[in-house]
Amino acid sequence: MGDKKNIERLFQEKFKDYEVSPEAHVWKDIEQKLVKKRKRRVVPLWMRFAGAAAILIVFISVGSWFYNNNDTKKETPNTITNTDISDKNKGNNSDKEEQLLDKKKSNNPFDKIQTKETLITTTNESDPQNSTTSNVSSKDERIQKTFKNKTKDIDVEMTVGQQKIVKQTQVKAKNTSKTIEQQEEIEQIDLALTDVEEQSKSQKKDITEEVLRQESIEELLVTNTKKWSIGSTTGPVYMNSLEGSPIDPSLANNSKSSKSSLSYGLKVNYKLSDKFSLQSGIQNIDLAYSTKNVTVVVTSSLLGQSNTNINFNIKGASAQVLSNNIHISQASEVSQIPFRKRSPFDSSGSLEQNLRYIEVPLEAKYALVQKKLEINLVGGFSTYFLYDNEVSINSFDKKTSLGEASNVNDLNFSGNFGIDLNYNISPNLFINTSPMLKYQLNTYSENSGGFKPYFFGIYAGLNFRF
Amino acid sequence: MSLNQLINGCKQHDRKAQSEIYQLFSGKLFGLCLKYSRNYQEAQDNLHNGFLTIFDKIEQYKFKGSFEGWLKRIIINTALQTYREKNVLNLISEEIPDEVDVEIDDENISLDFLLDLIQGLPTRYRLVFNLYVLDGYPHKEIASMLSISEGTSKSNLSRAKVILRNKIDLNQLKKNEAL
Repeated sequence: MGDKKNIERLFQEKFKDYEVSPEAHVWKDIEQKLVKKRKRRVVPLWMRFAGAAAILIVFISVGSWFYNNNDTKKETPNTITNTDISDKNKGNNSDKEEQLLDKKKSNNPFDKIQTKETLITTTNESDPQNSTTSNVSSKDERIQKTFKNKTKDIDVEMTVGQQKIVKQTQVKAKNTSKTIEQQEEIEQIDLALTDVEEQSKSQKKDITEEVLRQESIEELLVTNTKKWSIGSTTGPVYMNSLEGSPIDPSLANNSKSSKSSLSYGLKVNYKLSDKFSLQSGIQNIDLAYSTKNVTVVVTSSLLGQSNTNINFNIKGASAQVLSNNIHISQASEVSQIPFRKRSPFDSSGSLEQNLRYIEVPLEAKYALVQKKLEINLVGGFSTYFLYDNEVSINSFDKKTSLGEASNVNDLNFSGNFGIDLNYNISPNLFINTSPMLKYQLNTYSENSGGFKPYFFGIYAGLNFRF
Repeated sequence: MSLNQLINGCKQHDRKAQSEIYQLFSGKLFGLCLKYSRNYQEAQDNLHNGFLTIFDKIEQYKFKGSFEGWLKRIIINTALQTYREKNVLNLISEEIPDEVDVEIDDENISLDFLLDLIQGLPTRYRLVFNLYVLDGYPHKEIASMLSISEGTSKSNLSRAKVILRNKIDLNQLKKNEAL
């Protein structure tokens, strides 16, 4: 009757592919436990990301507050200068050029208001203001949109990065022969087991945890021992100012805008300790800044008086840059500006200023989070070397180069503050994104009409650790 | 979805991926639990605790070696852990190994009967028999897993085999009498 079999083989054959479905409630119990565990765990993870998001929101809101503040600040001085000018007009019927000169001399228009209390508000005035606010808000939207896109990109990069890591580990696993690996693992498990036995009264410790923790520690050590990293950095930079005009104080009230310009360069990072690192680099930065609603009248320096900080290309040339804000308030008294009748002018002309710098930042970084996603706080300063400086006028849809700004310093500095997000693709490679606010300290030497520009840039790049 | 995708899903605590992993492996792992446990209830407890450990530690699975092997190790360790805590491993007296080559007629022997036999073994005999015969661990490894000597492991195995043979023989005898 049948084969006689060794008892080992009997059991081995019978229990080969032995499977029994557990009762359905087992999974439900497990699921319940998992839900509870997850709830406990969700909070810190969620907090971490919320923290990063909150910092970015603070940045954006501070930025937009500056924008809006800029706008409201513009409102009051506008009426003040208008009053000032109309008062003057009532007092003596001098011509336009003299008024401007007077205005330049009087640093404090408030004095005049106190003596002559008349306020003229014009209906025209509200229009340019509306347009500026809409400009500003649309700009904000744009920044927020690009920000959203950026975060999406980061998400995508994260998942891609993880898959890469998975692949790499698989490759590693194949490289080492399996038997050796298993033996090693087993040995480690054994070691851990004896440990656990000793501590069995106090704690349940999982064996695999020990083994795998060692692996992760090893990986961390690999990244930690590399002190240097180098990478590219590129990003849009927005320039704006709290107040003032870089061309002439009299244009401080005109609406201004900066084109977002591109900054690109190299970034070098040196790790001082676990938490602190220093970063430097070299970057090229192009800045474009335009003052709207101006009229430029180019004359000879012998005839006219220049009110601008411009060194002209043509020797002996001079120009009057007139704010059309003034013009609007004067519209009812056209007879008082006789030269405008004669010369055609474009009321929507804008004055463009282009500056190019080589920027050398020196910043300290403090690590808040050091996981796959690193979050660092950054603070420091930048040195800027000016190498291109141009002022041009956009009038009648034509761009005419006038010369260069005379009041721009060749060497200036900025105070920098921001955050730095690093996503580790591999121990050697990481993606860096950093929104930075750079407050300019001495861009202009004089006559800047209180112009204190700041840059807001979102830089990104791929970095290599070594 | 591939297995690796499911594993990655589990790493991100995706409930659906966890459920699928459970569906894929619970049968095999429950079979494993039944062999290492004294009864059905204990096996269920071990499966429950084992899966919680699996989902808790899955982030540490780095795709080295087979996933199923990794799962099995966790389940076996979970089972061993319970006996380690209950301290039942040291209750059995040592015996000199007596090597026997038992041969039996496997006709009409049901799997359930064999499972009953395994579950009926004293705990350490059961564990050694399972580890050595059914899961292919060498004596050296078993010895360190159970904190016993290699000799003890060998002796336990042969003791287990003797017990099993006797029970099978007894069963055959009963069957023959019934006929």
